[in-house]
Amino acid sequence: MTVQPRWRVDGIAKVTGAAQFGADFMLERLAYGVPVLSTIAKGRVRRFDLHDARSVRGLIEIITPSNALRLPNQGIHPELKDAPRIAMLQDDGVYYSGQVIGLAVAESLEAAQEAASLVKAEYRSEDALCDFEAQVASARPPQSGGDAAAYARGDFAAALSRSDVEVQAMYSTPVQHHNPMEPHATIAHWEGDRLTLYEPSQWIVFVRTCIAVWFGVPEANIRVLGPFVGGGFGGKGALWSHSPLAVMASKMLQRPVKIALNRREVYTVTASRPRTQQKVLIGATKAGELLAIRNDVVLQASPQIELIEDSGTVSHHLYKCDANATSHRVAILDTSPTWVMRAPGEATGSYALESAVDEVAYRVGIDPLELRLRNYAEKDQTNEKPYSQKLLRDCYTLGAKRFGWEHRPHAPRSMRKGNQWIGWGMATATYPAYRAASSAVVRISPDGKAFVGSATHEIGTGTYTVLAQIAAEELGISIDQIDVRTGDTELPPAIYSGGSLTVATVGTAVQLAAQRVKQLVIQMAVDDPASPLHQSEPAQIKVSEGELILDRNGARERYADILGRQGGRTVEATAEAKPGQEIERYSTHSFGAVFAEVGVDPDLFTVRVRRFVGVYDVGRVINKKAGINQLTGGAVWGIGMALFEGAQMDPRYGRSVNMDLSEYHLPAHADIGEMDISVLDVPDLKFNPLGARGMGEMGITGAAAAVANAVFHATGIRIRDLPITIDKLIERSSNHSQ
Amino acid sequence: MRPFQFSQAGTINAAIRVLQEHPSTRLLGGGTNLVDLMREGIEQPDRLVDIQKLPLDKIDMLPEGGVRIGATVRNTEIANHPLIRKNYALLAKALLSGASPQVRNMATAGGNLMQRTRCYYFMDPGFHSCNKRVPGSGCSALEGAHRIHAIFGGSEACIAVHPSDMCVALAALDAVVQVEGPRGHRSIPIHDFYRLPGNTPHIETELVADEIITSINLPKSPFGDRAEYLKVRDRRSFAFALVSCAAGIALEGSVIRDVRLVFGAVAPKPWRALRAERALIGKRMSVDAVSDAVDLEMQTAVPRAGNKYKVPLLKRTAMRALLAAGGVA
Repeated sequence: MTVQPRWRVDGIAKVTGAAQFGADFMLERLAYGVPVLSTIAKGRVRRFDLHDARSVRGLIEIITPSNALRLPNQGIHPELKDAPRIAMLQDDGVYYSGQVIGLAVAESLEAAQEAASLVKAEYRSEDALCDFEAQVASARPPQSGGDAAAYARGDFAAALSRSDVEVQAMYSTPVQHHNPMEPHATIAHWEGDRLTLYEPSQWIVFVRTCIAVWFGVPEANIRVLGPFVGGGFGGKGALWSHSPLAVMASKMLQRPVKIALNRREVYTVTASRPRTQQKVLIGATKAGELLAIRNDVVLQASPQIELIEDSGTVSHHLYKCDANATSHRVAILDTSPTWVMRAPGEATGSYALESAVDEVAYRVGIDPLELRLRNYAEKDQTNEKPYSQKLLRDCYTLGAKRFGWEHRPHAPRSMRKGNQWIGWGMATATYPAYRAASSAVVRISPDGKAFVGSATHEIGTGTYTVLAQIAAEELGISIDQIDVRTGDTELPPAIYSGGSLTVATVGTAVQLAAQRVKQLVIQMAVDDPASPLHQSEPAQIKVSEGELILDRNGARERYADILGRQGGRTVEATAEAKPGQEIERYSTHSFGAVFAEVGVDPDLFTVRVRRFVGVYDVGRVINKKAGINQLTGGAVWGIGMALFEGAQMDPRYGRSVNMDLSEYHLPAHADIGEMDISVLDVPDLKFNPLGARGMGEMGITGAAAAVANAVFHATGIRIRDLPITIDKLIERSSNHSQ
Repeated sequence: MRPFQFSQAGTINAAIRVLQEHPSTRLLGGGTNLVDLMREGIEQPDRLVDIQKLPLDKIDMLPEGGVRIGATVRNTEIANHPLIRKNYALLAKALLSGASPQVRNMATAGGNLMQRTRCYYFMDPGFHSCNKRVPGSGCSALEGAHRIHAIFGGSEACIAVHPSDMCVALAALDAVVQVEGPRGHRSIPIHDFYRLPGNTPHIETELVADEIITSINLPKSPFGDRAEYLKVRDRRSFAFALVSCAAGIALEGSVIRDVRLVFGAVAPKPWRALRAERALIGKRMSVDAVSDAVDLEMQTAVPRAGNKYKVPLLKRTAMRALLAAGGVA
């Protein structure tokens, strides 16, 4: 990209507090809602005792199933097949611990909190199934069927019988909670039959659809606003109980209502990444050729929604391997619902596959990088298509060089620094590149400034800046003259901001709309006898610094001057971008190579990631600063996934014991050593006109495996159950040679 | 959060009077623990008395060579104070290994003494059984998630641990807690300050409801630089200890004349390893002597299914702390 701004266009607004996030909007007569959450895992609420709660000064109303607004539509609806079934106080059922069973609404947050805490629920408990390990045996194929249920190519048994070595291992990953800096919050405001909803969302258009269906109102009557979203990671890609309940409360009380969840509430009112258990079986020759790869996955799911994070899919194509089989089964638990999280499928799947490939490398005595190169997939064997662009070999080579991989001794426990064991591990990163349908509008106003609008989202990734850059390049108008708006359903519709597709999808729509509006203005100049560009050939007119310039003789005129003669008219164009023929012709994936160095204390088994190198091919990178930032954040998360993160379920209660950031550990700064993250930045023009494949999910993929493999290299101990904590290492070490 | 009366105490006696007249009063220092607990509904005082303006915010030399740390001195100030850095580096190190700079800037010495456990079941009222939070309701941790729980000093009613780093160092330095109340002044050695849970885990200290901590006094340390605080945790900052250890050694030549060994995060109180201390006194400083002594202490550990790892981890941590303190490492 020729335009590379140093800072984000919304940076100052964010650091000065001018940017308004979901809960920031202040409305007249705003009331505050605080949910009442269940403390049993399954059953019914027999009776509420609201006596104490009703005595709280400032209380407006307590909403329970007995007085809640009856919704015309709820739960699964044909239009909402992708939405989780969420509690909306339409019945007295309790389906998991931490579910919303009531809502206290008051004049102040404090009063609402107090009243909610004083609501006493009498339950009739039923037996709940909350122990994942106990339910693995009765896991069943997902209802969605298809490849997620079972996938196979080649003759697996025959390939396995030809193998010299077999590696079979079980890898487990825990429930992970989405922990964006901004917890979920909603403000609902009915004015007559029109609703404004302030909702930090990754998919405002879908929010509008859900609310319209549930409440039986036309979509045209609903406006959803979420101009800034403080991170989502997938968790804000759906609607959870607090949103319809704010809408309901506002309707019942005839005033705006805000519900801002606290961290503990976020953990159960919304959803989390499912726990996985992945049984991987790899057959290989002595020379390290992978003959057969199998991954049988059991995932946690809930009666609310059976969403498949397809951990096994990554092993379909990552290596050249003729025999491949995967299956996914779900263990249904009476716990809070599961949902997608950053790099759904690949985050957990790449951990298991890339750990198992490391185990193969040790079984056959071949360097882990060399083994991967020997099994390099030149095409996607799931569909026999070529990749639109695959520069993974370059990522391996460059990453290895930056890391110094050639100096690595193969044997575990063979490197020391001071009193630390040192371990080096690596893995492959990958995520599919998607495009979807989205629209954008671009306008040029008589003052020569531009406006870009799309109902997409700024979820912390730099959408405002990137869309401004794309428009700036097409229009030849400098970035500070371009006003970008997102997060408003009045703008042209866009797909969710997830799956790393925003730049590839919405960016392309902005590019197309900008091209169109530019052509309109060029045509105006060419048609206008008063313009120095009159009767020029439109194709020879270029744009730069707010001017239209004729290549041939340098004749030029400013946008503002052209439009000024048209009576101060604003020129606009809208464009929709859709996936093109690339999906017919190519397999579209991003790739990367990641390398980690850990230091492990040989007595205490404290682990620190001292260095991390990641080299990625994500196509063209529109904004290096935001892009590298996002990849780095993803890799840090991968380090956290390897070493720290995970909900600990107490199956007796169906409730996690570490539902706050004090005990649910994300990495602290001190845990992160030197991060060396880079991109090849080669446009993938077979994928889309921008050449950009998206990068949001990439950073976390492979990272956990690289760290886990490094821990093995340092210690000789392979922990196959994330996170790799001191207790697990020390217990294994005492069975070891110590 | 429940509404409460808030007042500021101008004098120690005024604070004591409120405590006397209104039993459901809590004293507010930095609020870094109390306010969290109030938000979760675990602490529900009718009154808060802010004691941050009391003249208890100084660190002074004591005439006989020790130091007095006022109850409202912030953790950051203690850790950075020249007297502490020079004579009680162990305490500074323990403090700096706790919490985050932001929390340490607020947290007070007295508040650190009084902070409550981080047991999961105590911290979340959604769990109905916790004898510490609701006396008589049972202990969820015994058969539940107790990876972070006690291996010393627990009871069938409670196996929660005291979470402080500072107090482990204080115990190794023979600190004495100074207390004022309607019945006058009391000095409580830190080793006697905390109670073991027994059948009453909700009663955690010897402090009576109408008493206020005024200072923590440290005698002159016989260990000087021969002291070490080691903390092992799941991540490198802003995490409570899995195990920690404070060790101080006084040597005559290579013979151990005096020693303190205190464990943190493994018991309801800073756990003084008396067996190990006794075994070491009079011995020559050596890896074997240290190993044997720590083993003696570890024999009394009572781990449960989910925290067996603490036994080897604590042994190695204690050995490393002792050897570092003794100059062997």
